[in-house]
Amino acid sequence: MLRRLYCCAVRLHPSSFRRRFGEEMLYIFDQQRGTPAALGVMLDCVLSLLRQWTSRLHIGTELPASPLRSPTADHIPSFESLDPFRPRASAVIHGALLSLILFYMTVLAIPYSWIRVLNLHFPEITGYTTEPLSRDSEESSERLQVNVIPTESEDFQRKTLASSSPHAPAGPVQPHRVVISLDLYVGEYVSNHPPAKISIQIEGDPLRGNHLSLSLAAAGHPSLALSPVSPARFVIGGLENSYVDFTADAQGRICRLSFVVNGNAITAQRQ
Amino acid sequence: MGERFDSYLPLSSAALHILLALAGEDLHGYGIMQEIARQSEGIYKVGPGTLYDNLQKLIQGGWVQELGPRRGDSDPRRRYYRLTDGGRDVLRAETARLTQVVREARLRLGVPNPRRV
Repeated sequence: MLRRLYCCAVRLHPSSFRRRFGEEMLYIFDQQRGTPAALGVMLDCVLSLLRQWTSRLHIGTELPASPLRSPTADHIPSFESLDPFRPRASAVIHGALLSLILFYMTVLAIPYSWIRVLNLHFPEITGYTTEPLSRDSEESSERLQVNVIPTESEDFQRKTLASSSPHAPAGPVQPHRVVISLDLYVGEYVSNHPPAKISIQIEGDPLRGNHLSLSLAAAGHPSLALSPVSPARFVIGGLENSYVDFTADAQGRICRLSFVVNGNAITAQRQ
Repeated sequence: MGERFDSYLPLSSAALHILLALAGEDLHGYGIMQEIARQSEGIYKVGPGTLYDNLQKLIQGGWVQELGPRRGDSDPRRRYYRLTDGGRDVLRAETARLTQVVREARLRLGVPNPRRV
């Protein structure tokens, strides 16, 4: 096994070196007694390999002086390699093939990163985008397309609240696109403890398009813009660690919301 | 003579030991390795990669000549190498330089020169 590796390392040397010294290097390898000695020779061969490909200057010989091109007529200097060494066409092709293989292997390996291998699930949604529907302009005023990375607890909400795109990819943590009908959420929600009345409405915005807004009945509270991260959860713009969770009943109708601000939750039933 | 080789000195340890090993007789690569280990009493060893790296440079410099395999040798893969006159001159120049270094070091360290018997 080690001899095969050594043969490979010898064969990777530049052809002129390999033709001249390759057989002798193998002969010396065959003279080694024991694995430690063979490993030492192997390591030395690898170092020699690096030296051979990185250092092209030799003791006692000077490379022929490369004729430096004079600037052209338009005074733009031309550039060329000072090293007369040129790789063979087959070496370039092999290098290109090897690069392509490595590239595709890397691309194929990405889905098997440590997160996937360890089967880690992140409860928080890592990213989302919203955009109005491009088709059906009349309906788009009250519907949004959302790219969602669902969590397990949100699965049933997704099924009941939204209709999935037919081209959505399968998989537990694959982001998929769903269409949310904002009308389903609009209404008045009442909480008994603490007593509060929460109103969910659709507001228009020239920049962001239509979106849901949340407002408290108490005077002086500004309305808060809601951005969907999933059919069941909307984050509150401008407030960190704040979101609204909507809960649907068996018929798919929104019946309750939880308004969470910095860990304090208000649960309100829909009127 | 020294001025001719000043630009090549000091030699690397491997090159010096290879030239020194070939100063006595023609040797094949494995023989050079063994001779280097013997001369340095096992302190300095070169592997085949380092050996042939340096041999390649020494051959291109004209300091070592490749003789090829010998008839009747036990293994036809072995090629023999010989120190050329130029290589011998370089070795002399390097030895003179090292002698000067040793003399200076003894002077600075207060080590007496060994008596000639």
